[in-house]
Amino acid sequence: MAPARSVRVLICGERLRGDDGAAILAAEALDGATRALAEIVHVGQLAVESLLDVPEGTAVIVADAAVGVAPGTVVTLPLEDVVRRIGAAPASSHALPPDQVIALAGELRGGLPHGSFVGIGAERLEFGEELSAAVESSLAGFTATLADEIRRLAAG
Amino acid sequence: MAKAEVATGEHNFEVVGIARVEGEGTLRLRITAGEVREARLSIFEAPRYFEKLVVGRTPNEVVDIVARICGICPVAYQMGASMAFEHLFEVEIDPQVRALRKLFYWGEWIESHALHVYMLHAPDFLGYESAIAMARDHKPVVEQALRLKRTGNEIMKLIGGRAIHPVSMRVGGFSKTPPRAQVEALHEPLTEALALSQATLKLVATFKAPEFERDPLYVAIKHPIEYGLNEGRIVSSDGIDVPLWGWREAFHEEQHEGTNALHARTTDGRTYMLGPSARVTLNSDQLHPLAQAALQASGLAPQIARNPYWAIAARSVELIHASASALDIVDSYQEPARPFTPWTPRGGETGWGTEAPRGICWHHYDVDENGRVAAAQIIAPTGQNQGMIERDLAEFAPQVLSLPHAEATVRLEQLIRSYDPCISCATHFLNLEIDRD
Repeated sequence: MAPARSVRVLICGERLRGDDGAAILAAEALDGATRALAEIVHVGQLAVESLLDVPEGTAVIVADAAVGVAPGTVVTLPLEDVVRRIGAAPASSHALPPDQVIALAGELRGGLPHGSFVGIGAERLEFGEELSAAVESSLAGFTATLADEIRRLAAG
Repeated sequence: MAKAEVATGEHNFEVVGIARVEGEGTLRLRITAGEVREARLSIFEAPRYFEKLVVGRTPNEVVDIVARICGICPVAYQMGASMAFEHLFEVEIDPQVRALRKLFYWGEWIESHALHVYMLHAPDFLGYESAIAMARDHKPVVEQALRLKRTGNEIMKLIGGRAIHPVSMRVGGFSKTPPRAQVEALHEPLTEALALSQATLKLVATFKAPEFERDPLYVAIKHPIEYGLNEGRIVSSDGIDVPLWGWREAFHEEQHEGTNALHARTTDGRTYMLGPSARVTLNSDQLHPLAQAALQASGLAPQIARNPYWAIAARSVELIHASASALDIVDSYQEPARPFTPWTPRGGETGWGTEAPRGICWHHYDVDENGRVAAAQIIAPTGQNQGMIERDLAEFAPQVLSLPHAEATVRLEQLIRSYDPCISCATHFLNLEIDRD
């Protein structure tokens, strides 16, 4: 059965930076039926353009490892709530952090696309493919949460 | 986050976590009786050990590894490493590959300069704390920036395989070169980018910059007939003139307490300035004719030469230059007969510098008889500019002491942002040794 709504999943992260690659691994682990409900796009770093390119009416999921969350903890937030959590000015905006990218996209689109952020608390972000124990043990849960969110949004 | 202490005539500025610069840095100013006693831009981003990571690696592995030093200027690192090895191995580069490399680099310049001019620096001039706040009132301006940035990314993706940390660059050329039709498809976005760049300079020319003039030592790459990019010689405004592999003949690195980035000085100990203002000042006669015309029409050349805040105008001029030069290459491109020139490794010592968006990025490698790296030194632009940033801060700070603290802080941060420091790039060195008495 065709989904009620298009869903685009923006997979963020770098597989060579430890836990930063968690969303990539979660996307790879999605079952075929769930994958068929969404367009999976690997974006590396989340850029404003990725969110501006989301067509009207398409729901979006931003999947990424997150800091400020206990390692291994899986979180799901509506995009509006991510924007509300913006803190002080960022330490860097050669690449804006995801919350600011989402906020800027919202300003430029005249509103945020319908969708959510699905993240996992990261601990080890050094070079190498090795995950922290906390993320390793929570990866299946992260994948399941991502799959649930795809199904929920696809159902309209 | 900023805090100030005023006690017994001593006035300390401490800006913890400078916004809108890449990486983690802190500004500390100690002022006593109106006199700046200390100006220090401390970089506390962790050292990243790239110079050690490349030891034992083959030249093509090095080209891949150094791209990871920076997500905003990976081409600069790949270009410097490739050309250093090509210099040692005496590799002749196909003229079309040479042109394609320039196009690749102009793509990075367009992306980096558009990001800095609009997202990092323009909010200072327009009175906003961030690009998000600016977007509420100046949506078309931010959209203009994103279109420019997208064109830069498209170029990098086409030639490099991907926009961030590209993968196709290798010693002798590229692993793959795009067919003519794909390159020609860049004509339309680059035509738009050129028009947007020209509009950018006109917009920037309406900005008001703080009054601040000084006469720095400028250093840039100079080419006999082109705007210095990845060939030519390293020159200065006072007569330094050394080959691209000879940076050590005129400059050196030194450690400073309280920062994880090495500073660079001339061999006689002077600070110097790299980047768009240095290049435009030293090489304005070699800018693309469209960029030269725009610079002249703006009347900003004298301000660019003397006031660091006007680096935003120099970057805008270079946006025109990069867009116009890229368009010329696109319009005359012929796919090379082969993507790279084969080469045979040999042992020896080599170096090369190229103009990253922020200034000269210099590489030096000792290569063993098996063609593997035995030692490396990579000098990022930010480490070279750091001494000049601190000098400017010390000279400018007395002008803002009478302002409310928050406003003074913004002016000082804006001055740092004029250099577009990339702190992540500056902290990849190998050793940190501090001698204490």
